[in-house]
Amino acid sequence: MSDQPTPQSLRTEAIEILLTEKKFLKPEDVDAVLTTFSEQVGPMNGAKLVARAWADPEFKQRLLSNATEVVEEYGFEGGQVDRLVVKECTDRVHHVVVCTLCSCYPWAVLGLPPSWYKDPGYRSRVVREPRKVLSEMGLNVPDRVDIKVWDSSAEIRYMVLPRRPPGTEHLDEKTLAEMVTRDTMIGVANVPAL
Amino acid sequence: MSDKVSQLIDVNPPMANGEIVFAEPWQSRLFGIVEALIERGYFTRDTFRGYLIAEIDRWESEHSQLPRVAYSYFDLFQLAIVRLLEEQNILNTQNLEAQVLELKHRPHGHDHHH
Repeated sequence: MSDQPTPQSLRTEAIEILLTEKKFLKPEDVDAVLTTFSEQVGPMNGAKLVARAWADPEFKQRLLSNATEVVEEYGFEGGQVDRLVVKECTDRVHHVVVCTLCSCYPWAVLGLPPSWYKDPGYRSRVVREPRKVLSEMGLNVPDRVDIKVWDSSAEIRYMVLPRRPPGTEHLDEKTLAEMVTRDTMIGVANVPAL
Repeated sequence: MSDKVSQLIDVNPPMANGEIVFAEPWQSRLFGIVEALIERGYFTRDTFRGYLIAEIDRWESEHSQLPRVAYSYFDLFQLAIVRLLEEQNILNTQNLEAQVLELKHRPHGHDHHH
């Protein structure tokens, strides 16, 4: 940071000082919000689940059979993960998630949805011509691999468990989690091989 | 969480890989202040969202000529919260400006107010 704070930075500081002086809030309240936001919401939550599932077959089975329970155990901020279903990509089937009605999305594990998730083009076309849409988004799914499209709703949110890329057998969970992006858990990208 | 995020989404904060991108520390701090005030019940998320949308509309009508200039989301976020706090008698603009001036003229090497 330069020596000269920006006007916006000064104003923010001034707002917080005045609100604190008038006892509208305490700096700890703000700290708590920011901690929650950075640690309990977002695609890193989903990435942790994916990495653990790759590393631990038993965990993977639990995640695939009852993801809602697993997410509750992890204590991720619930919200829209009332019922979460995880679909595993394999050599034979690729999964992709959409919400054709609106933009239902598992916030707690994936953070904020990308802007295109709400796009009517994505919502309608990925159901009709998923292979073409995925290819336009940079993911070429071979013809021998089936594509299944999962339509999220207010009751069920879907998350994709992407395939573990080859050459990652020696990596620990933390490193694996860092390789998993939001798009791979929506099913519009693969985790790249090392 | 659902309401929180979905309503923010409607006004498009800068994002990358599913997370709001804060370009400077004051942006995340201000975001935290607004969230904390909402959690404490001083105003609702909808109310704040209305102010933010009004600021975006204002900006767009003032910058309707070409070439179009993109607005800075958090600059408008700040204008919105200041206007809201003033209109709800939580904060007085004159006091705020005085506080800003005081901070501006504090001696070099000041203790940060954290």
